Amino acid sequence: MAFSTQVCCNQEMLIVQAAEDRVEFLVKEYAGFVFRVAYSVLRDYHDAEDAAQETFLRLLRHRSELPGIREPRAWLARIAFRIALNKYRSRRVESDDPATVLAGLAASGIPAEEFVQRGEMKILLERLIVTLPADLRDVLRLSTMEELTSSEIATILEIPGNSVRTRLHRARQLLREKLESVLGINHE
Amino acid sequence: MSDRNDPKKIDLLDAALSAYGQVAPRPGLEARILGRIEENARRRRFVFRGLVVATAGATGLGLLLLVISRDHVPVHESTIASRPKVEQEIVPARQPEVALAPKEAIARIKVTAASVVSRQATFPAPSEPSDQERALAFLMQSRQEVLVALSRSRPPEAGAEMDIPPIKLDPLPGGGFESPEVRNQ
Repeated sequence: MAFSTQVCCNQEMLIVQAAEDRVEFLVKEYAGFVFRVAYSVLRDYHDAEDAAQETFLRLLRHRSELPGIREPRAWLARIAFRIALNKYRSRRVESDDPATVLAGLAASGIPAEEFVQRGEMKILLERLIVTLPADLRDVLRLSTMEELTSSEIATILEIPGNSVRTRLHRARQLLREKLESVLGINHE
Repeated sequence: MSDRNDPKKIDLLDAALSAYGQVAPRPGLEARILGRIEENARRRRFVFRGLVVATAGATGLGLLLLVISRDHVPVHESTIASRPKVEQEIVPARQPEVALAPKEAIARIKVTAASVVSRQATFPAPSEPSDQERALAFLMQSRQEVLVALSRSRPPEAGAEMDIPPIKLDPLPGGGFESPEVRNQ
């Protein structure tokens, strides 16, 4: 009886050890990727790193399900995206009024090319992306990560692949219009 | 809107989106994540051990309190009615004692008293005898003594063989009254 208990405990310890080794492997393999997924939503280094850590802690809590996960990359991306989205919703949102953004840019009088060269283009783009509808915004943000394919985005958002392509097209179109509007004002 | 298809603007958007998506984590991200995982696991182990110790302590304290409380059970007046019945005795209807012979009456009283005493002498006793039971036992014992005394003082029944020694009377000096035996002689 004692022998069987010992064997059972040893087996359990081996399973736990194997799961921890697997988690460690996944951290080394996908930490940067998970961080970038979180960053695409949060646009903040500190928050994105927190979200990445939370993602791997959640993975550790579900380590018993690890052998059943066929695509850990997509699984991690989905978890990281959800965590980041929750963080994004819970934190205080700055004033994203497009009119305010456009008026600020018009007042600055800086040419569009200079915006692109300077780091401020990222800020401008973020402010414009925030004004997009949520379903278009999520697709566009994930698509800016070149390492994510359309099917992976579909897996993360749990929507069909065709919807990803449609939404991405609409998002780019809307963003282009907004950007042209902004740059048109600056050129005047 | 006139320049929507302007390649320059399209390139500008693509360039902006490309730059938007380029981001690299600070160095040492993997180490920080692994460190946090390790810290989390250590904290969980600590909490688990704390729970085990707290559970063991609470169990020990509970047992100690139980033992102490059993030593100090408050003594309260118990009555027959308030106590649960250990066993139900079937008591036959009481017969009038007058009809019984003294020996039978004594035997019955002895049996009744013995049953009360035996209930008290049962070990472990179901419970302490109540005041009512003590009074009943005392009454039975005293009744037994009274009946024994009465039976001794009661005249013998008619028809029973009696061994009465003859009465011897000394003759009176000077010739007085003579007993019938003397006269017959």
